[in-house]
Amino acid sequence: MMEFLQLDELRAAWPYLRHAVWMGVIIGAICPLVGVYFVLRRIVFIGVAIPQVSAAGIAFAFLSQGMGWFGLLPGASPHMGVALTGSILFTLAALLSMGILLPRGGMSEAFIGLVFVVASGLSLLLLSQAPVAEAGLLNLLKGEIVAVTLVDLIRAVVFFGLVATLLLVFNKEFLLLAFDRELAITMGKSVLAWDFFFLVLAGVTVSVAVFNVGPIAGFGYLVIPPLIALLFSRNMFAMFLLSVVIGVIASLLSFYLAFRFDLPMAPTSVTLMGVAYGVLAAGKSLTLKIIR
Amino acid sequence: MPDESSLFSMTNAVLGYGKTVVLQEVDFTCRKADFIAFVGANGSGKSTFIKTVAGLIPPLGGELKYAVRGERLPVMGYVPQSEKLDPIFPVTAFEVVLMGVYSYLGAGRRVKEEHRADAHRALKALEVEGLARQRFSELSGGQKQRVLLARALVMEPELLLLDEPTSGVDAKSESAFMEKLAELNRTRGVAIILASHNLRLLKKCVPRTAWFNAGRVRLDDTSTVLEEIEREAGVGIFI
Repeated sequence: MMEFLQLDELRAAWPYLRHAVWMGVIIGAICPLVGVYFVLRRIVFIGVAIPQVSAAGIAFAFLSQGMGWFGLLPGASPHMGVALTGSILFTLAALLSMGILLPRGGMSEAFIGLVFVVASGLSLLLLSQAPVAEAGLLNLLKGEIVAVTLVDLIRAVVFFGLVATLLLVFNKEFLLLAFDRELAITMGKSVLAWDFFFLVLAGVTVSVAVFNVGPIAGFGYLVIPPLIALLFSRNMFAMFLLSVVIGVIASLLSFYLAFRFDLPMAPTSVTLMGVAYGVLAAGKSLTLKIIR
Repeated sequence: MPDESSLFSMTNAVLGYGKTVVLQEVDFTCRKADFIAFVGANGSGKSTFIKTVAGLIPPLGGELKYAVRGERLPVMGYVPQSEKLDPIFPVTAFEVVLMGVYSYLGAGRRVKEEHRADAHRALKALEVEGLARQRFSELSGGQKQRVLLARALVMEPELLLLDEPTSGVDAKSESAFMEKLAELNRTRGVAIILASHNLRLLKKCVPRTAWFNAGRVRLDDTSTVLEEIEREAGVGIFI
């Protein structure tokens, strides 16, 4: 049994893997906190498109570095700070333009679809032209999170700790805005300012998550844990708590499965969560039918 | 400037959405403890009027002035149609009522025990305390309206704006809801503006009615307005 589980091998590899495991746990815990609002405000499509935009930002940053644009040293090895900056700038620009354009037209889904497919194509196009785009960069976009350093981890703890604190402190404002925007206006709340604040918070969270685990897992952790939590939540506290617990468990379990069966990390975690959602949703539906 | 007893007044106001004018030459004053019903056909401008007063859409022209006491505007409680609230949210009735507290809690300030007590008191006043832990989306239409009214009451409003609150609610619940509104108006002195289609019920509970017809608003005693509507319709609809 122990042989099948390969726990000894995992124990031996732990010193090299532990930072990546903790990174996955942190992202599994924090992305769903933001994702709850994506699911409840029915803007999941934005959650699909934004990680792709973030990935395009990373690719653009590497191309800029390779070409020596913006005063960067041409041909230098990929610098993570540059990639993160590209990711954040692209994401914020996309979110803000969506925030401004979407309420003005009736083609929201088409527009978000356009953003998704253009960002996906642009990522690959930019990568194909970047002189310093090596296997490491492709791995980053695929979401291989094995090479996480202690500095990366500390940076993520500080950043996501700040995001979690802000979400907790302003939880009632974000909830009111999402549930009953008209009431918020009659109360004299500045809904545009709160929307802007939320989009910035969400945009930066997605950027940092994509930078660390790639667009597939970034979207997966953003949306799937809240979707599963929604099946069983009777109040908002349960919704947030369950989302975080599911995100953390999915992260640990998918990391183990990826290690044990030598699978790519991001597709493993998203498939695992997707299967869990399918099984639990079908189970709930069946149970309700039997009870009735 | 509105006089001491008024909460807001409109002078020669033009109301509508974007470039579409729905109502014009509106002169209207709402005073403390007024109870006014809005009647009229669909699209006659009742909701436009309420949304304008609530600050959801700006007036297109003329004047809308609120009474300012000290440095603050009158506190307004807005009760929408419950169907407008997305049932996907796993919020309990208590959590919905607690949102009313947010009107006087600053950004980032925590909800305290006294605020929770306020929410429980409001639920009790509307006789829906037993529903506190139930999911809002699973309540009946009448129960939802009472919860939304409780939420508005938590704000301790001087003016309640209700946009067809009993739409889709059964007759018995609607009657009970209207009686509750009348009681709040009588006992707490809350001014109430209510859009409704149930003319029979209005005749029983509401002293003044505004008739929205052909882009104009005419405010009078409920019985006078209803008689006029009856005359225009050419049938005895209130017998």
